[in-house]
Amino acid sequence: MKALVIDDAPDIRIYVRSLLEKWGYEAIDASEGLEGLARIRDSGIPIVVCDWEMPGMSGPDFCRAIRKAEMGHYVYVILLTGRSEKADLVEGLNAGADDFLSKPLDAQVLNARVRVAKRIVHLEQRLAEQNRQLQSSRNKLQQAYDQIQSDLTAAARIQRQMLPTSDRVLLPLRAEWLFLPAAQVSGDSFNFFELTPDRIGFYHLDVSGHGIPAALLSASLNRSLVPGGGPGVAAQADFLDPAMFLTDLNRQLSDADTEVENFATVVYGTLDKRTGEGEIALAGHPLPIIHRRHGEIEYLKPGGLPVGMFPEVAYDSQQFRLDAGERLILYSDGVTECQDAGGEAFGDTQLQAVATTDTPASSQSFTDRLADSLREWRGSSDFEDDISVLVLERQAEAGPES
Amino acid sequence: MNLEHRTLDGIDIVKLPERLMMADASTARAAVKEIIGLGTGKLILDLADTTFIDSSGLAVLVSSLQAARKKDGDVYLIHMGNTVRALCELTRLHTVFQIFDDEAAALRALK
Repeated sequence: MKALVIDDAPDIRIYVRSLLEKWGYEAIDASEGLEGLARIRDSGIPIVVCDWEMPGMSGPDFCRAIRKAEMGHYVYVILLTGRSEKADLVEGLNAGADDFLSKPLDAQVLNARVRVAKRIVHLEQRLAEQNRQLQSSRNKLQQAYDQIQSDLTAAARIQRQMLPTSDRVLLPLRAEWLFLPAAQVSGDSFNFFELTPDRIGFYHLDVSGHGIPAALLSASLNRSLVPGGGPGVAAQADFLDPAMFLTDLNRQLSDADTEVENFATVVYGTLDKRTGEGEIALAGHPLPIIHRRHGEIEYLKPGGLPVGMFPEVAYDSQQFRLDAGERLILYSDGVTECQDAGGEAFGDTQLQAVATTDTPASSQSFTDRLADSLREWRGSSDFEDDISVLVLERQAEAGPES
Repeated sequence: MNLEHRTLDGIDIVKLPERLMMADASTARAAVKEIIGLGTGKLILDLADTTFIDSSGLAVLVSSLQAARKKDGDVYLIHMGNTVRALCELTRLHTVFQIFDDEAAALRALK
């Protein structure tokens, strides 16, 4: 281990240096503080024995300079002094000295004090090594975390690309929608598509749980629920028969031998663009709402269990009809379960209220108003659960409203 | 997670935690699964304390039912509060579970 002796008196300097060499240290000497500092900087010396009284930079000055400098390692300083006043000791310690050795020098005591220094330097070096290792694992963790974040952002982007971009395919029906994912990736999804020239298919789904597993199931369901979306259930399912469709989908997803981790609540339906006649099947989803022309709210009847739980579950279809100026509202429970600061849920009543305050004169769409109401209720834009809404509307006939 | 658990004539009675959501749900799932694995498959889940539940929590109930039925057992739910009941009804799960007001009624039915 390297050690440095700083003393303006050559005899003491050489004496101490030769003692240190005898004890196995790689000893260097300097005749004044600045030179000492340069030596430490050049050769990373951890132990210094330094005289107190020196012309120019004194021992305490040297200590202060060492503590201020960035040496990259700890420097243990023993001050040599003839002083024994309490005030002097305090000054030395305050300046940054680690230990004192009184003059005249006693070789045995010096040996013991330098051994203490060596022990402490070893401890410091071990600590520094551990810190380096910690820092290195921290950096690796940070890299992994950054990678996950960027993957999640990419996943969220892909997910958004699965959502509809335009309702042109529905014309003369119209659609509007709202999608406010809670985490980066969401378990909610919805879409609509043409089945025959007159009939459209539509779905709204909510996968249990959050994050990656929910998003993956949601993505796979999206493929199954769109004609031509991929192999599997979509290839053979009858998209025109909602009950049969959900029964097949559920059988495909449920496996009696695997433990239920994720399931999905789904609404799947078809709707005739000209007549407004529709057929719909529900799997554990919040009950869709029909907003009638004169403002009444009707709920569809409950359906079957969520898909992905039990393989042998039968689903029923129910008929509905949208007249001109009426709309079907599909939503996830993230809407009705959205909690305010006090833990109170937004609830069905408020959802109905937002739906029915709509007037033809209102320039803001229902989904925009709902988004505003939910943010206001929540007190922020951070939602605990995914919020999504799909509205299918049969537009009012041209001409004055009755 | 240490769930309050006792066994009465081969029937496991387990008290579920106050929060049955997300991370809490997966620890509760593991704990209930272990109890079913060691027991007869007859299980009463006490929901008296459970006031916060989400879809992950429902998955715990359903996976318990699956595990119990594999052992020819069943899962009965007791002391169901309004929140849990509402979610069960929304997802139609009240049609697959036997639901009882209290332990005595559930025990009579299971025996």
